[in-house]
Amino acid sequence: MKFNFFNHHFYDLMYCRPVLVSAYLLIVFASSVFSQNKEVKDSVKTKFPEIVVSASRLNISSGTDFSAYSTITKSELTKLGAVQISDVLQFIPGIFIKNYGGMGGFKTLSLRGSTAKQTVIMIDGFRINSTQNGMSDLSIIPIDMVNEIEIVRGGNSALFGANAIGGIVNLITRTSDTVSFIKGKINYGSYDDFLTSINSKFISFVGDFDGSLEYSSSQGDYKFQVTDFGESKTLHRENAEFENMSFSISLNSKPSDLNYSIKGIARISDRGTPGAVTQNNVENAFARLKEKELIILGASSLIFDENQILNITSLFRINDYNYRDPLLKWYSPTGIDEIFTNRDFQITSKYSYKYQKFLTDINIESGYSDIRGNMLQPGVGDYRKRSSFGISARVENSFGIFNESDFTCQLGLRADILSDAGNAISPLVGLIYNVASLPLKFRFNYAYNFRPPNFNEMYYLNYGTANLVPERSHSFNLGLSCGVISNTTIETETFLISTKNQIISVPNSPVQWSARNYGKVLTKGLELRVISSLFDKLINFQLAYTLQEAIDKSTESPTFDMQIPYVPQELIAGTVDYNFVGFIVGLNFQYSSYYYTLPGNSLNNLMPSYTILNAFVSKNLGLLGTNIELRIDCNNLFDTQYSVVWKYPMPGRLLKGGILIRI
Amino acid sequence: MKKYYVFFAGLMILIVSCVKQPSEPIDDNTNIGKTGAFILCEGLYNKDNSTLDRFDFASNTILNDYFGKTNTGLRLGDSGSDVVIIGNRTYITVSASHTIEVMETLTGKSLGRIIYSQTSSPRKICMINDSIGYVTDLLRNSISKVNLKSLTIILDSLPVGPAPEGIAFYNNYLFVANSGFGDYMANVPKAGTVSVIDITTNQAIKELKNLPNVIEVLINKKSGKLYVGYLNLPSLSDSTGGIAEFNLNTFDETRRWKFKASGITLSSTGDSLFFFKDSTVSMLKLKDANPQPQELFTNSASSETWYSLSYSAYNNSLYVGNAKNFQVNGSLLIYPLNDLLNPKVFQTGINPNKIVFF
Repeated sequence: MKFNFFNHHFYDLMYCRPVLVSAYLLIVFASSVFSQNKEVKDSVKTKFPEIVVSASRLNISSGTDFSAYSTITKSELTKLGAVQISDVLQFIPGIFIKNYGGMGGFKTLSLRGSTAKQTVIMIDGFRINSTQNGMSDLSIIPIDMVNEIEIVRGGNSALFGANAIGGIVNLITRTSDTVSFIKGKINYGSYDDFLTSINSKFISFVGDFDGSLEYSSSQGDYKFQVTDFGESKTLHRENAEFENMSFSISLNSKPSDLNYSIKGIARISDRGTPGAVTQNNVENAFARLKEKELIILGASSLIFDENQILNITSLFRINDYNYRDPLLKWYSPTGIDEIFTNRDFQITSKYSYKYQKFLTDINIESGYSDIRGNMLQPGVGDYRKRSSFGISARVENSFGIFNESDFTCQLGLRADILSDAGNAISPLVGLIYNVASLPLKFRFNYAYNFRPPNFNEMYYLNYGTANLVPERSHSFNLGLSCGVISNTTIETETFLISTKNQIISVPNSPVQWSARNYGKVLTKGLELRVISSLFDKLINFQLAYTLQEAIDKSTESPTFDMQIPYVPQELIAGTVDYNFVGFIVGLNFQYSSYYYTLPGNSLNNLMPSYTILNAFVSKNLGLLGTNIELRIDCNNLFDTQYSVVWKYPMPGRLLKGGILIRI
Repeated sequence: MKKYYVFFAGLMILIVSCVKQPSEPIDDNTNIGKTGAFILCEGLYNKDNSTLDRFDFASNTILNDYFGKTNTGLRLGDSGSDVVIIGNRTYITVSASHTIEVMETLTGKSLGRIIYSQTSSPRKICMINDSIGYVTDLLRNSISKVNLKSLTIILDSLPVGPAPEGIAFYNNYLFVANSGFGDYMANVPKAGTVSVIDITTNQAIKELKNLPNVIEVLINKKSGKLYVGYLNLPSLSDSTGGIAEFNLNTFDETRRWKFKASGITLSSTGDSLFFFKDSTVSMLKLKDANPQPQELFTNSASSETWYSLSYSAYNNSLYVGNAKNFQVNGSLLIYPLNDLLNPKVFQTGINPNKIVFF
């Protein structure tokens, strides 16, 4: 089906859109008048919040400014009542969360029509994508340790290395200056969804210690409708119990010329992993997944002078993975008992030098990963390792054409060598034009990116293909940030991603698949993000809009020129909240247009569009130096029956209450 | 003396009349349906999208999702694996939905279903007569015995080797292909064998060995031979698989051909064996002393996979189920053996894995 803006169900709402837009503009105008009657503020600052640079951010230099860049602040995380990271990310344009349902359901993220493996998930600038499967499950990342989220949309391998085809999501963890001395939180809701966390900080002469403990659990036994043998019936999700406990501790040195920080995150989870609900069957009804993970992050920075800085960072991660399903008897007569241990070690050193308007970064990265498990190809044995080495350089310079320093450009180049998965050269070009007379900024970015095959794609039993080569992708981004309207920021982006050698699962039979370099995919789209704070922040409004298409361009493929599965053509998400007498009342919604769940684009595998509306009310109380926040949420207000993943039902209406105490 | 001549002549007449006059062979190996064909489209695992298409010889048309369209609100379910016809009843095994759906052949009307437990995976079915059938159970490493009239399970689980797939019946014996599911259970006892089971005692009397990843078993009643298709192990880079021939009376292996073969099917006379070999449809002339595969026609689309093959005696044609890339609607290709250059093409559902005639 050819791309057509209005060829979906949301077309019905088209007639509402002019009304809604007009109403919104009226409110903005009224708000503008209201603001002008009040004190005159620093308009530039309110329109363009300054980016605060810290060691945990993606890039100390502004390399990300050339791309589509968004942040989700701690206050937004709190305001959205996020229980999992995925709860907030869908309010950023270009992001699609593949959600298998319920608190314990897997949640993977893709950006701009790419796959989850083509998106880098980071903690404090360290990639946490599994080297085993290339992805990161958002349902098990402890949200309480996250202070802010950065999202860079578009390819950027020259800056971030492997997998940066669709974009990067960086989870910035708490630092001691961003947390209370003690903070405790409890949430409880439908299906026994439970989340509790406590964290505190301790200041010593060595530095600031910060520790947190988080526990979440759910029965996940929500009901849903099915039709079996012509009869409609209501079932409850089975085997969806979920438990996840995490502990983190960090030490940040006192500010000096030599700064360092050490952070440790330990996590253990146990969950049922129910599968697809098909006729007379719930697949994997007894399957369980247990994981243990330890991540240790170290960062230090040596400031030579105001123009030179050296950062050295390191990561060690070990992940134990055990998946058991006694009914999957094609693996063995007793079912499957899959055990893997995946270890990663990365060390990075980055030297930055600034001379007048000229900035240089030189980055050297070295990595080692291995996997040990009982489900590798017979020829591989039970162990496989990978070494990697990367070196990159980036230069940035500002210059004037119409006004002084109104242009900034960057050039970058990165080379990567992987011991078992090929090599890659990744260039980068970027340009920014700041309009001097207006709060208006244009940006352009081009990057050539790569994703190496992961361990599963190369070595997993009866699936892996050892001679895979890295995916390669050209990525273009043209964007505009505009603060012309008072108290409103508008960001719009257009993008194009052309990927070749895409590694896809090709069935050898309907039940047995293998990984191949096969696909060629062309993705293009338009994104819009609007952020408004009206009537002196009495009403806050955010809108994320994405219009995109991802098309199979593999000329040999029977699905040539057809849409790639699980890429909705249109995504809309928005939030609005109203503050009065200490209460905050808010609504948010997510809309996804239809998409196909198989490459053939048949109506038989069409996932219908859906709109989900959530509401909340919260109240802040101050009591003897203690801040208490009470909150009630109602998710999926209209109890909509829908799925994001084919045959994986999502929960209906969900009520939850919470209390948060800060001392 | 004359009386001796008369007696001898009479004796000769008696003796000679004991020998039956030869007649046209009864086709036991192929479907001789004259109305049309059912094409079972497996769909994809966990997608709940199996369909049954119907092709009519007279109108030369195909009706997609025949079962769904003739039974409003019903669907086959997840992973339809096998379809067999006996009289006016059609039986369809639906592995991941744990059912055998039963349908009236000529009208398509659902007659009910045999429902297995959630732990089972009914895979392939063979008929003993119009009342009794045997079904392989891929996940329980067993076979079951069903009453085809009352739609009940008589014997739920009779153990065989790991991951049994194809099943065939001859002369009181069942032949069950214990695949081992490729590498997964290649080391489990009885993997890569064909169990020979006496249905009067339910005991395996023999294992036909050295058949790694064996999938298909096919009886040739005319020659008294069993043909077995095996795929070998996916992990072996030089893995080719092959076809083995066994004597149905002695169970001894008589011949073996080593090449990548699947979709084995016989001609109406039982003289020719058709199969997929690499990207071709090829043939073995079984009566030759040392038959070698002869290429009949080629799949020129390298990205497409031919998935099922059946021979129609009615119009002397080979019917090919093209699964393409296994993820899109497939097609039915009809190659008349006397005009292989002009196949007819019809769209089917996803992954046409079995073609039978009625």
